Amino acid sequence: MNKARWTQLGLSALVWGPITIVVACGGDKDGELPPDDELQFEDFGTIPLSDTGGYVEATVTVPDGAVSTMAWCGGFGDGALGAVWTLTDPSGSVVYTGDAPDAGGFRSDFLDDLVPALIPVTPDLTPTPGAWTFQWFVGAGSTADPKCGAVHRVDTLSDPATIAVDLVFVSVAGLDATSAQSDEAFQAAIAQLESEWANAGLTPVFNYLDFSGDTAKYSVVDIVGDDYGEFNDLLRTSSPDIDRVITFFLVEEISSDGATILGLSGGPPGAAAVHGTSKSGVIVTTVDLQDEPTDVGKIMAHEGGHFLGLFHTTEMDGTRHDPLGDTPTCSDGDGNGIANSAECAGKGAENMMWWTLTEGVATATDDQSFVVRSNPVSD
Amino acid sequence: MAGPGLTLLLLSAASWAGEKRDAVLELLGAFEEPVAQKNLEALGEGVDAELMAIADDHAVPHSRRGNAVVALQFYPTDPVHTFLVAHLTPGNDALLRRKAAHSLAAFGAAAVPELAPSLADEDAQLRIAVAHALGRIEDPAARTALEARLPTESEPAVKDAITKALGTGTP
Repeated sequence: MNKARWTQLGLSALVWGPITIVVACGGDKDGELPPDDELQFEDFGTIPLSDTGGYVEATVTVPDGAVSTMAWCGGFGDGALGAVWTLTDPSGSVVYTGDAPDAGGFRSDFLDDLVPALIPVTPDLTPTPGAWTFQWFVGAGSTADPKCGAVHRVDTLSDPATIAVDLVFVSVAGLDATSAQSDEAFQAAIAQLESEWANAGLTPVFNYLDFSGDTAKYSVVDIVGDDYGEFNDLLRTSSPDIDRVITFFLVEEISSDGATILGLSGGPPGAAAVHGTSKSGVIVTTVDLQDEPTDVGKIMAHEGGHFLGLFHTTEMDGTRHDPLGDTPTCSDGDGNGIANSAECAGKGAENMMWWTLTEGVATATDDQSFVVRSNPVSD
Repeated sequence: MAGPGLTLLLLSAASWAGEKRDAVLELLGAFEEPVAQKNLEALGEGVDAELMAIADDHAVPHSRRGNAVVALQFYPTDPVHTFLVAHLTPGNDALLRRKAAHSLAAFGAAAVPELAPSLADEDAQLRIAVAHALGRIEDPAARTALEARLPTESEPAVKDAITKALGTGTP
C-alpha cells in the first residue's frame, strides 16, 4: 500500500498540433508513477458539424506496440448526445456498428458533449497497428463543432498495473487533503478501494489535493432532469500535473432530481489521459463516509472501473450485459423488472461492476483485469 | 400468549417484511440509478411504510435514508405528507431536510406554504432544493414565492437555481 504524495517537477504541457505529437515528461517523482512518455497523442482539430447533427469521422493511426488507444470527439455541447457509430480496422473490416451495439468486442453508449472510444474494452478487439477509421454520430442540439483527438499507450502490459489517482477534496465533511491522510474512516474507504482493485490487478498510488474552485457550487452536484451541466463543469476543472492519472472529485453528494447518486464516471469509458473535458474523471458521493466508509471505497472502485472501460456485468433490469466473455450474467428471474442480488448470487452479484452495492470485497474477472490494466492511464 | 397459528402468521409476516426491506434497500443503494416508481410498485404493498421506517433508521447509511425520503414522493398520501413536513422542520438532519423538500413537490400547491419559508433557511443547499421543488409545482403561489426570494438571495448558486426554476421550470 502506498499513500505517499508525489512530487511532479517535470513538464506536462500538451501542445496540440496537426500531426502526432509525442509528449515527453520527465521529473522527480516517487518512481512508481506511470511515465507520460509512453503516450502518443494525435490531434484531428475541429471537424464541422451541422446543428442538426450528423457524422464525424477521423483516421486514427495506431502505432506499433500500442496496448490501448482512446480516440475522442467532443465539445459539441451538454445538450447533444453522441456515440461511436462505426469502427473500421486497418484491414478495412467494420468491426463495430451502432446498428448492433451489443454484437461484438466493442461498446459505445450515447453520451453528452464528448464521446471517448476506447480500445480495448474486451480482449476480443485490440488496437492492431495501422490506420483505423472511427466514425461518431452526434444528434441534434449541438452548440459547437467537435474537436477530436486520440491517445495511444505504447507500452507492455503489467500485472499488477500501477495507476495514479488524484483525490480532489471538494466537500467531504470535516476533511481536507491533509487531514484525510490520517482519518480512520477515509483510510478505511481507501483500503476497500485497494482491496477491490487488487482483485482487478490494479495498484493505486494516491495524490491528495484540495479543490481550488467554487466549493459552494459543487459540494452538492445537482443534476436536474437531463441537465448534467454542473456534473460536466466539475469534471472540466480537472488539471492534473501528469497525464496518466484518474481524477476522483470527492463531493458531499451528487443529487439527481433530489435522489442521491452514489457516484458517476465520465463516460463510460472516461477520457483517459485527456483532461479538462466533461469526461475527465469521476465524481464520488461521500455522505456515507462516517456511517459506512467501506461503501465509499466500493463507489470509488466501481466508478473507477467505469472510467477505465468496464460496464455493469448485468444492468438493473437484467436485459443488458457487458461485452466481456468471462463475466457472469444474470437475468430477472422472478419477472419483477429487477435482477436483484439474491436471485443473481453467484451470477455477477459479487462483482465490482454489479449495478448496486455488493457485500464484502467485490470480485473481478480476468477479462475485466485485462481491460483496466490496458487503459492508457494504467502502467 | 399467541397460539401456534398466530405465531406462524407473525413469523411469516416478519420474514416477508425482511425480504421487502432488503429489496427496497438494494434499490436505494444502486450506484448510479435513482430509484424508479415502477420498481417500487413491483415490490407490492407496504413499501411506503418500509420507506418511512428506513428513513428513520439510524443504522442505515445516510444516502439510503435520504433516498427513502425521496422515494416517498411516489406515495402522495396524508401520512407521507405529514412525515415529509416533519422532516423538513429546522433542526432535523440537513440531508433529509433537502430530500423532504424534493418529495413535497409531489403534493403540488398544497405544499407551497410548507416549502416557501425554507427559501430563507440558513442552509444554502436546502434553499437550492426548495427552489427546485417549487419549480416543479405548477401553481402561481410557487412562482410568487420564488420571485419574492430572488432579489434578496445572496448566494450565486441559489440565485441560479431560483432563476432556472422561474425561467424554464424544472422537470
